Amino acid sequence: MDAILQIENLSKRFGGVEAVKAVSFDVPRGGLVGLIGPNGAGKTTFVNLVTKHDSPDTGTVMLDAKPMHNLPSFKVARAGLARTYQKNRLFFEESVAENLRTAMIWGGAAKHEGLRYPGLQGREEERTKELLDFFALTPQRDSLPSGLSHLHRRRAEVAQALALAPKLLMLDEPFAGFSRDEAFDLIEHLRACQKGGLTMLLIDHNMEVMMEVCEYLYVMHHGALLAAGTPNEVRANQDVINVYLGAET
Amino acid sequence: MIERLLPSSTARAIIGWLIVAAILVLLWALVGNNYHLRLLISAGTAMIAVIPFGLLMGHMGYMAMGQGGFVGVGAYVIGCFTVQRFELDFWAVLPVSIIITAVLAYGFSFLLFRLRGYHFSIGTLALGQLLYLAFDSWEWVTGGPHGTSGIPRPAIGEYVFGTNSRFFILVAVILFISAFSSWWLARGQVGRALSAIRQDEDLAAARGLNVLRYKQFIFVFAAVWAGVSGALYAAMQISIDPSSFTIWSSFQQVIYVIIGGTGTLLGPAIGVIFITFLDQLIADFGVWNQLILGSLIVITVLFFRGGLWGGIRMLARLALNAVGLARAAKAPRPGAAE
Amino acid sequence: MTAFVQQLIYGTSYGMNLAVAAAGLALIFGVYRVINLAHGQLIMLGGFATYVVTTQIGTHFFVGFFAAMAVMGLLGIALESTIFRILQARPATDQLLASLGVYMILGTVALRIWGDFEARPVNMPGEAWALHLGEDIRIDGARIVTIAITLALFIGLYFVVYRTHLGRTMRATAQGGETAELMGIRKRRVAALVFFIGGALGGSAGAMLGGLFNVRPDMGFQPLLMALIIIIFGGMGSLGGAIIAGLILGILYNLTVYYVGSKLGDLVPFGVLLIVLMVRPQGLFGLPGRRA
Repeated sequence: MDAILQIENLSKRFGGVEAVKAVSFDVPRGGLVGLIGPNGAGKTTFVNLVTKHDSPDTGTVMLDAKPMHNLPSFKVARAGLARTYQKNRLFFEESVAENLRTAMIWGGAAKHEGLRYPGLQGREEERTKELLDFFALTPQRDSLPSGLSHLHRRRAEVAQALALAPKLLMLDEPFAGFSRDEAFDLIEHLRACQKGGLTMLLIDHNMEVMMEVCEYLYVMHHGALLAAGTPNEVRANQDVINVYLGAET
Repeated sequence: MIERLLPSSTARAIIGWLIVAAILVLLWALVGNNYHLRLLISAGTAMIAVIPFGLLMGHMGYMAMGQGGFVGVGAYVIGCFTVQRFELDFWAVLPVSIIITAVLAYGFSFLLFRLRGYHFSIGTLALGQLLYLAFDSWEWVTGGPHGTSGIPRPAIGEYVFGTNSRFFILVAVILFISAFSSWWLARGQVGRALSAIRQDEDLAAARGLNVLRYKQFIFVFAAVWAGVSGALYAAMQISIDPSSFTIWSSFQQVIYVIIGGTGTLLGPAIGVIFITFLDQLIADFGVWNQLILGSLIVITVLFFRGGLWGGIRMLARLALNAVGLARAAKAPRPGAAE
Repeated sequence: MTAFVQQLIYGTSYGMNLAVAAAGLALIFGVYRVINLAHGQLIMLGGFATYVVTTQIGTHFFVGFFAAMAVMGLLGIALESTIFRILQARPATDQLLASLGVYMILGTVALRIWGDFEARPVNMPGEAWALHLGEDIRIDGARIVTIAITLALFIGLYFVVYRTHLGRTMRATAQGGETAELMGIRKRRVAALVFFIGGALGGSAGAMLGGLFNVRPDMGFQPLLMALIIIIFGGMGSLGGAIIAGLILGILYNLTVYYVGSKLGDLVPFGVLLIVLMVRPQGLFGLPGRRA
């Protein structure tokens, strides 16, 4: 397997709580991999560690065989590892188009390296235009994030992350608050990007949608990896069934 | 409608700076009274520090509460090198003063920017108090509680900035540079980065911005101008002592910015003018003026977040709207004259 | 050795004093997420309340002490319901600025009423209770009284916070507004209570500082600065952290003043702060990781 992201033994402790316990896993190039787990399993902390919003206590993160764990978060972003947030985050004083442009300027020139998804070609204006068209946000290009619907705001956030021209995109609970239709609308866009060479790691607790969408799944519970496999394998895993049935009571 | 009444942004900027220059020249030409000149000089000296500080506090949202310490460093370096320990020329010492403040600010910035929000403000408050204690106790350099006196007025060749009128020229020129450099930074990439840091600095980092470098840069920038302001203050006052660089002097800078209006360049300047004016107006009230100022701060923070400049802009917008509407009413509507 | 023990005890009493002042700030921050710079003036006004009741009216120190606690507690409630309620949802800058404004207002009022910076004495009980340990160690009664009062205050605070229904609701509010609201906690009542206790702690710190060092209109600044450093050192919002950090600072201060000199003693809190910022920015008992 050609792994674009290799995580080895990642751990983080907050006071007495082990939020992430020795997590190791790989994400194959061009894949759409899911990380699921009940609320409080440590998924968001895990994303924060990979993107260096928090410093891991131990462990290594390699993107394309280059170490990320000793870089500051802005360099991780520039190296091609972008993320979105569970609670939607955009620069609230800037228009949608400005939000995209800002990320392009800071992220540096687009790195192609076999990538073909929207927003990579040409200069900033063309890239912005292409991304806005792709996400059907052109009518909202001059709106402030506060004026957007939830769906549009989520799209704008993903578009901003893509404006960095990342190799790998980590989406933290992208479907939170979405209806099934809305979730699949976003998934269509993500699949189109995947065809353009983007690797994705989806993080969510919605088992049903994730089973349908992801090619490979990791399951996290109490900060540690509980299981891994294809959706069918995970569905059959007794530990996973116990955790999810336990979590729902 | 309003847009049509206003020229393009570049033209507006040029006109704005010409007006600023014209005001400074007019003030110099028209104000003859020595007392008033002194007020202008002290207001100008304050602005030299406060306008760049506005970038840190208003644009970036990091409220440093120890800027008075950097003003003191700038002043004492001048004092130490021109009279206390050496007898060098003001212009030779000014670069030294700038370098020392910059190095000091840069060094502390590594510690301070591990903090955000309250922690940062309290950290800078402690730094301000630490510097004050240093001024008070490091007698070899500062002269201790009695301070340093006999600081010479700067001169260029034979031209000594001795009188208040001449000193005002010096302050005006440096003020112009301070304001212009702040404006230059605020309008470009730096301004965008500062604003992003205020809005959501984690997001800015996740989108590739080197947040720490911008924070450190603007902290050093504000500290250097505080130091220059202190250098001029020392030259103006001739003698300096620690009582001018207490925490209260740091609070004063914060107050100028909040009363004048955060997040703008003119706001802090207007704050300085307003408070200088207010101090004259309520000087008779004696101890009550702290109460008036305190109440103003509370009211501004709670209800008029834009400060004075925000208020002026709101009024101007209303006026422009009124003018625009009047014109629109007079102009024949397209298609109506058939 | 005797001098060392003596300084240790003096440092402890001073440190406990600071810890009382800081505990008020820490409690308000922990539950209400607001830093109240005006706390310094509550300390000062607490000192003056004690001065008025004890020295001017001529009652026992403890009458003045409890009067100071009550009046400052009520002032705390008044500040909460007029100003801090609006500020709670605002950014840190706004809270610091507005409370700075309140600091100036209260300072002016005190200066206007008591006229000047003259130091006014407050008689503390206990001259007769001075303790003699061994040959040369003599401990003022006032110091002993201070230590006793602060111990009593901390025990009382512990019981309120950890052993009563009110304390449970306060801690639930501190853990997160939403959870607390789900539990049906009446926010306003908790807020008033927290500001009452916070103000009362400030007032009692002022009463004790007044007893030890006299009362002055500008006496609030130094303890405020120390209290701010203490709550960073101890971990923002942590009561236990504030108490331990206060003790450490007080003892270090006294030992440095005695053995090295008063100028360097004044630098001690800042030195400690710098080291804390370098080694453990979240403070002794703050959780590591994300800081907002």
